[in-house]
Amino acid sequence: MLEAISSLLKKIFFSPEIGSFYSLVSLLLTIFIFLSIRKIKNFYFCKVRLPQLIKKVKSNTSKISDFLNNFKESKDNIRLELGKLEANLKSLSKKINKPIKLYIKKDLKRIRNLSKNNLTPEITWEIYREVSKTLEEINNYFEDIKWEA
Amino acid sequence: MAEDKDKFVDVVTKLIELTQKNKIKWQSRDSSEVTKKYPNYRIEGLFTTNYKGKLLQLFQYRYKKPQDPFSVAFAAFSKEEWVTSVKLEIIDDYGNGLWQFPSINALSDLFSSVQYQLAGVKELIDNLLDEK
Repeated sequence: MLEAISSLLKKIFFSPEIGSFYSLVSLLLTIFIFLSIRKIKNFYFCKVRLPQLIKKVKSNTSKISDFLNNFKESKDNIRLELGKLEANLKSLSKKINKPIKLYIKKDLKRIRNLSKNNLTPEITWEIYREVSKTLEEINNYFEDIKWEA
Repeated sequence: MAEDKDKFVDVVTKLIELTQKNKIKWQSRDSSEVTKKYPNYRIEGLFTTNYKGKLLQLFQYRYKKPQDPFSVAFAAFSKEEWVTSVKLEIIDDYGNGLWQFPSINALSDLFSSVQYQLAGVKELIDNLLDEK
């Protein structure tokens, strides 16, 4: 009797077929844990980091608009703010989905293309306008995922 | 819809630009009529302008953010949250709203530009810098 039970247990736990079954289960479990952790990470990103970054980008564009009131005197400040805007947009682009990433990439390209001498009010207005459009897209995206997370 | 919003961002950006260049002159107005129309809003500055025959009204307001059911259940523990927003609308000669612009971020920058224009900050800076 004891031998029968022992042989059955051996079959269950140590047979090659069961072994591959367990590895399959552990693989599925690993995938499930990986997806759960990703979901938790996304949840905190949406609740905490994304609003912070949106706020920062909004603040950058508002300051640029203020500085445009006195373009000549504020050229250095505009450059400084554009630098901050670039860093914030870069940070956002790493964490956001593809269609919006494309908008951000275009904005980043626009900012990077600015050389020392070609900062004009027209170019600054163009950057302000295009980043404002991107901000609207990001806001829509944020409103959508707020309910998913 | 995204294209529509893009168009409104273009329009508001143009309004900011024209305001900063003093090509559009805004006037400060009494907000009592608007307060009657929106009793839940606390109006914090109301301005109007006439652009090519169209009357535009811009105002900043604060309102209590509607609470979600969870917060209502724990009302004693949750704080009231006030939200600030800016509205731009086309009005008729009697101040009645005809059409409202969608709410976009750039509207708060337009509001700042109008305040800057009406406070005469640019003139003040120029005068002070010219002073000998």
